[in-house]
Amino acid sequence: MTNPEDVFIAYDIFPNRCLGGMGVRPYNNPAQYDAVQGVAMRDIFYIMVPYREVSFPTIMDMAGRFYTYMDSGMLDDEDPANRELHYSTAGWYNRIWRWRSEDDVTLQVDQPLYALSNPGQNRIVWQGAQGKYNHMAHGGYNYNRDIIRNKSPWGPNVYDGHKACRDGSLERTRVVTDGILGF
Amino acid sequence: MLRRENFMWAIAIKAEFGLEKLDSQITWVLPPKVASYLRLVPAEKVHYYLAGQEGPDRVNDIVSAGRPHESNKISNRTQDIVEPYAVFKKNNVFLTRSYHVENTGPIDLMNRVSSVGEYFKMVRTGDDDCNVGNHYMSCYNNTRIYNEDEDTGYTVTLMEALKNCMVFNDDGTPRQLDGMEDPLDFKDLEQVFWLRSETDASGKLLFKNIEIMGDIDPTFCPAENVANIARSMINSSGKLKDDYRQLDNALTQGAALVQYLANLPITASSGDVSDRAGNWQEQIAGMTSLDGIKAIATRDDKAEGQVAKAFVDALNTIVGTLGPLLGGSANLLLNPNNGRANQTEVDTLYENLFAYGLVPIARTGPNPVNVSRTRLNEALAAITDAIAPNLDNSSNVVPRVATILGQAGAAEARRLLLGLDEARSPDPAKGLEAVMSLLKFIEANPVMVQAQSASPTETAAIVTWARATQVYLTAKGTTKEFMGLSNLAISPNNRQLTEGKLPPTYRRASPLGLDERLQQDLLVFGKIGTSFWEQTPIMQAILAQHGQGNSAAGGGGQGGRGGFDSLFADEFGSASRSQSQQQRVGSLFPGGAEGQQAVDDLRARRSHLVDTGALLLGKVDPRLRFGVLSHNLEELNAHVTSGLERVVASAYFFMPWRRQSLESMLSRNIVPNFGIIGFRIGLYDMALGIKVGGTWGTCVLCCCLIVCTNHGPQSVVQGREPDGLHRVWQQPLHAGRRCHDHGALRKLHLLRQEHCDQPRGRVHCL
Repeated sequence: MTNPEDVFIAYDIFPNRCLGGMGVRPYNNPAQYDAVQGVAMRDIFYIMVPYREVSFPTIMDMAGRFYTYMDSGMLDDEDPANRELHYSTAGWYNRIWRWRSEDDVTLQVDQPLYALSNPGQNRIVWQGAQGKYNHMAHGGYNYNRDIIRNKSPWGPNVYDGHKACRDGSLERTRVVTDGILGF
Repeated sequence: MLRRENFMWAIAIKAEFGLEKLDSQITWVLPPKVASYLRLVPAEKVHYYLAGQEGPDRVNDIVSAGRPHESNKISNRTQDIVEPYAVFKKNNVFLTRSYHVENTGPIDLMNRVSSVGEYFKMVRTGDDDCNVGNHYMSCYNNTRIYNEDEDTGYTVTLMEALKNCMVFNDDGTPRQLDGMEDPLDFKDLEQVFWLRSETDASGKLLFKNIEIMGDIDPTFCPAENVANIARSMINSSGKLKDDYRQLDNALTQGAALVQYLANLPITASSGDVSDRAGNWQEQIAGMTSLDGIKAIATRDDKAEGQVAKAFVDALNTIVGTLGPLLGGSANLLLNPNNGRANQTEVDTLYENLFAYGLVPIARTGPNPVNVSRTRLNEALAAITDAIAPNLDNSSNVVPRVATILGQAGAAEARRLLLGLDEARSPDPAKGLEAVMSLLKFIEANPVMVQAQSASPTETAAIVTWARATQVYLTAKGTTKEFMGLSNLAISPNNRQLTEGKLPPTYRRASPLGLDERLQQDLLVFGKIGTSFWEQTPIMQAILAQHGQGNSAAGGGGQGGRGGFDSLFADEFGSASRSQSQQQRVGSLFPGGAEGQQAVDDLRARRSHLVDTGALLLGKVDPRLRFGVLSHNLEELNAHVTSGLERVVASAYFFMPWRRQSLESMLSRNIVPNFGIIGFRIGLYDMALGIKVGGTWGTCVLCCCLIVCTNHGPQSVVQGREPDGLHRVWQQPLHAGRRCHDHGALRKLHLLRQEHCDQPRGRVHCL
């Protein structure tokens, strides 16, 4: 390696491991989740929103605002964009899940706090890929027509289902035989 | 941008005087530990000519200076020269190592931590909202997401989402959160649509769950949505129209329609206070139930009736179009003062609404409208005609009822049945007495409940008895479905009931479970049998006829209650009861202490019901209520208005609308008023791949890496790639997902055209 320009970094080749949030088990008890203590035993939070709310930011904070409360001074309080909640029932669910709380200073963060050992502190969510029910297809799910395509934070090189990518680290380079690299 | 940064970073860490070189191009802001790391590597470790003897030794892999190199412990080498871990097409493959920085743990440049969270929407957009009518199904809200644990799709149903959305308790009741009075959260909680604000006596702001749909702020439930919901409900419930027609063949189609519409959840309208019909609204916040409470009402501190107004307007429009069925251009909101009102039609509509709608509708004003006697007579005729055929079988029913009652109840049951028969008599006194007998039997209905859970055989007998007496026939069609249940083995552990595998008809009949439903009905029976009925002139006339009433001239208030209690005292163990009355009680209840306990329990229950106020919930057979139609409306209005608060509270107590709507909206495919988002959060420990001189530094498998090889993806697919990669491509994880593979291939092709086919020097980038 003589020329440093020959070196480049390709990001996000595969996840070494995942600490949660991959399945479909619902959170339905406050004891299953604690952002401070790092307790995150399930996968999905179900949020009820008013009927008229059908559109949401592509990236939003589960607590309703991006890591900054309007009273903390980090964002302009007068800016309507900062006053508007990402979804209107954030207050209710903050009460339940304590994503952010006025009572607990440890939850009054102004920037994302996450650690490898604490996946529960992650609050930022992207719109994920999902298939909508297609009643015109008599109960079928037509991915080509009704799917909402979004790669979340994965970038354009990862397809919707990325278990193969995620499990890449489980594969080990085996002994080279006959000059052919095997996986 | 990142590509350039990577390039610059490579210069900084790999080239001598890299920072100095870059200094002319960009301003660097580095954390101190990074700067320290950059200066850690001494020049003699980089430059051969400065290494002295160590330089040739490194090349020749010879131990020198007597110190092993830390990085070569694994391979037992003593120099920092590293042979490739593997060889891939003439290219060396190396493994990376982590390093330590002061006050930190091991740092692996090949890894980074990434937080990943996704959300999914379960909301309806476009024409699927509410306008699909009969075509709408709850499954339209289902969504299909990717379950990465199993590498397959997963369908999230609306019911699953609702059950886990933390709004309902496990039993379906609304969840209450502590600390809702915290004013600090006002800014957020104000926007929570299922909370409403109240001010207590001290002026403190409180937040409580909404109890009726009228509490929903119109901000969250705009008028167009309410109108759509109303239309959707009507469409969705259309199938019930046939049921009602079967229930009462004597009524015309229009009357049946009113009967059906009356069961729609509408208890309030809007309009000027001077409107005749307008008085239905602000003063009256009742509710009906049609397999689920969906109350539209208003509350003074919220919404100013806009939700209810929108709903009623929508319903009114629909009713208006059906005017011919109602015998005219009936208009719920018609104002008589402008000359458009047809007094008879409004009266008819009102009468039907009152008879079948069962909301505590009352009108105020100087000229209370008396319902037509003709309608009353028609109703009476319909009742007798409907009951008469069944009574022909009373000889078989009575012994069964006696068995159910457990004691010598045959005489009482026969008396009741014969009383019904006597209702056909032209003698009004006998008819009234028959009605009174029925009322008293309703009071004794807990006996029926006890028998209900005894055995399937007895249940069947009860059903037979109910079929004969029509006691349990309600405007909702409960009897019809209740009769259908006679074919089932009813028990708390009945699998069909508990698992919800009954046909839709039966599910509608007992959305809360049969026992609960029965108890609720009976509670309502009890309420009607006491507070409400005693206020009516006909009841007072009955009391006077029996010579025990003391409130015939007293109007409303508590006077009637005393007379009513005294009338029933003989049935429930009053100290002054006669010997014959005691025997009649004994015919209903077991003897001895056990019987006395049953009597006491019944008295306690009835006393409780008396105190909760009058309420009509649409649970009572309208044929049993014909007598009410001759009541003094002004007096009734005063009574109902004074008990308004209790009416709302009681209704909510009996049937939390959200619990009902949760179950029934899904089973009956009525559009729910909510959308669901699913959040899924995760944290990934991401690996980075570094390409060194055209050689992959890490073992990677996924397709995004294949893009970056010097061979295009097409060659991979066509098998010209080495077997290893070819096998990878053929793995089920990739090949099994055709749509994904298809998209990935196309993306690979585009990416390769964009990047790999346009080499920029020797740098190949993603």
